[in-house]
Amino acid sequence: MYLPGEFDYINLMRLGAAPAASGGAARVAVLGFATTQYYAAVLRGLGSAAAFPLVTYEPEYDTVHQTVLDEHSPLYSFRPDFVVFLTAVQRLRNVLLSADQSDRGRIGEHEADQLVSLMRIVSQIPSVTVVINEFVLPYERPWGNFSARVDASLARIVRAINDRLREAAAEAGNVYTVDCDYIASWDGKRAWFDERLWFYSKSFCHPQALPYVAGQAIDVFRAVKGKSCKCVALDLDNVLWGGTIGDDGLEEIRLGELGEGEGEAYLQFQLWLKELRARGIILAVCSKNDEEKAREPFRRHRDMVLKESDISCFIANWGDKAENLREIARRLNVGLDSIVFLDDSAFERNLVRELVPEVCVPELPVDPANFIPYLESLNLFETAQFSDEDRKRAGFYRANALREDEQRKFTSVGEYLISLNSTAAFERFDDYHLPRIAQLVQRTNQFNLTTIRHSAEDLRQFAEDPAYFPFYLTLTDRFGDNGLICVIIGKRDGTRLEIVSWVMSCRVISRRLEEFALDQIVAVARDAGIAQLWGRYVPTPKNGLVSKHYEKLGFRLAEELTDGSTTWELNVSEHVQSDAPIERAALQLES
Amino acid sequence: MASLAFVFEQVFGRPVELTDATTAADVEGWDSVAQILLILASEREFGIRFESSELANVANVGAFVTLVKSKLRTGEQA
Repeated sequence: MYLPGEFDYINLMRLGAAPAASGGAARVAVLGFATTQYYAAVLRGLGSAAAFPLVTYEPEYDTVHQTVLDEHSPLYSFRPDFVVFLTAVQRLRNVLLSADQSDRGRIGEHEADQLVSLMRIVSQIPSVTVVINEFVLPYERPWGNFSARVDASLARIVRAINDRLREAAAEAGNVYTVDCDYIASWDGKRAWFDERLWFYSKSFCHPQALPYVAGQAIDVFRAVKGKSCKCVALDLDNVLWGGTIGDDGLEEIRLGELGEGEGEAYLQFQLWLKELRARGIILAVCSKNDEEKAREPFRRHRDMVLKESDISCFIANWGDKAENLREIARRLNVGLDSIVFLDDSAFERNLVRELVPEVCVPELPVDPANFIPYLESLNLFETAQFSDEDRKRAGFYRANALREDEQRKFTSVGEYLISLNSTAAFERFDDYHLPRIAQLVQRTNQFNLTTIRHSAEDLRQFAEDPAYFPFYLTLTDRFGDNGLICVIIGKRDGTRLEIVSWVMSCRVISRRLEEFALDQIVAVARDAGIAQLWGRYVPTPKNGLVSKHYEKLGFRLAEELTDGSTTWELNVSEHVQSDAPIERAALQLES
Repeated sequence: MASLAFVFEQVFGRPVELTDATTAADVEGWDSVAQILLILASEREFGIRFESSELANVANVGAFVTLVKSKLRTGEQA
């Protein structure tokens, strides 16, 4: 996470000591096999600094088992949104060292079993997300460098336990691990371990490391809540290459071999960005330049790693960057709060922080060789999931920009939509698509009628429950595949079908896909003997876009509640089939 | 004494009136957590290091000052 301003563990703990306003704060239970006070205070401090308020519950020291196993313990009445398990390799090492070497493998497995079973119990709490700190690899090496080859060495056993935790997390679906050994190794084990503090106060690390390790948990929380960075907006001069393309020209900018060490640093940074793109982060350009000049290196510089096709939205003009970032958000259909803006100019950074405070604007080191280490230390791109869709996403957004260009050639939008030759699949949930379905349900904020974040497990159950009508849609057109972009979950109640959730990706807005979807639902409902559809709109700060969704689809307003939500009805017999220009695709089983 | 006052202010978030006789009981919020923070903050501020046996031995400000001073002197000699 990026925090504006200087924070160390002492002022974070002070910040965390002030109680968070409990309204809207996420509830975190901190279960520790070590002292939890320092960690919990830093966690709350980070939460306030990052405008992600947290309230915490910590059981008495060293009572994790009792707390989890007692169904009447305060853990369950606390109703946590998140549970964090704090592990301490210092405790584990004593368990292992007191055992005979031949027994240690077995004891390690037993420790892992216990942790996994606690984690499984806690993961059953409704709509909870569980985070486990993996064990930091111990610094003791009785066999020296040979230790890693000895089965009974602490390092071997701790590695095996960590592997087990990761596997169990992957199986559970709502459990994530924090790679503490990575965090510890960033500053080194000498900075992480302070044996005095372990012996005196059972601190699992020196508190100076707490902002990093607690920050990782918050990064996971935010990713699970769909509040992660989806787009990097890049300045060009002195960010992607050294020098000024407008003044220095193509031959003089420093990039790759021609720029000596500095040029290599920019090249490396481009490779780093390209890798982000490959995992689904959208790249955009936001530069003060003449557009033709700004595009020249992308087209003609031989060491340029990023090509024009890697940039989903390219804005180079002399307008102010705040306005240009809004334009990028609009064109790409992403929220301003999911954009990271990278610029070497302190003036531009501060301007954007002032005028578009939603955008994340980290500092940028003066030396390009420090770009990657600095940005990696912020862990801006945490994710709760990774699917095939992510790999393709940046491409989807680029295809979208091409579609927008094309749109200008047609006199009417209707004509244009027909020319797209769209086909859409409308199918009941299946195992293959569940990860992407869960992702869409977790992440979508704008086109989301009820914003219910169904867990992966709930979604799996809907698929098998005959009372539920859970459907996904995919959309393909002549520009390419848009992937799985819509999820609709209906629940039968007698002769009525309640639309529990209707979620759609913003990249397929204005394609009349809603009308197509409704036609399909009505057909399914009719076959099932359902007489009426019933839908609900629950307003949030982000979903104003769909406040008239049901009205536009011909539903009748049934009720308007004081919290601003509305309910809507449509009699199946009164539905008029739409003429949306979308073909229903035949069911294809992907492999 | 001036810099120790800075350490106290860092930890408690407010200036704390200090005399040699000030004890933990005189300062609101000086609990076991604050105790460790005072020690770690002075380690950082003065570039010194407390021994395990000393972590619990700073019951009042006078003792704290004496301990810090003795460590600074040792540091100078080294």
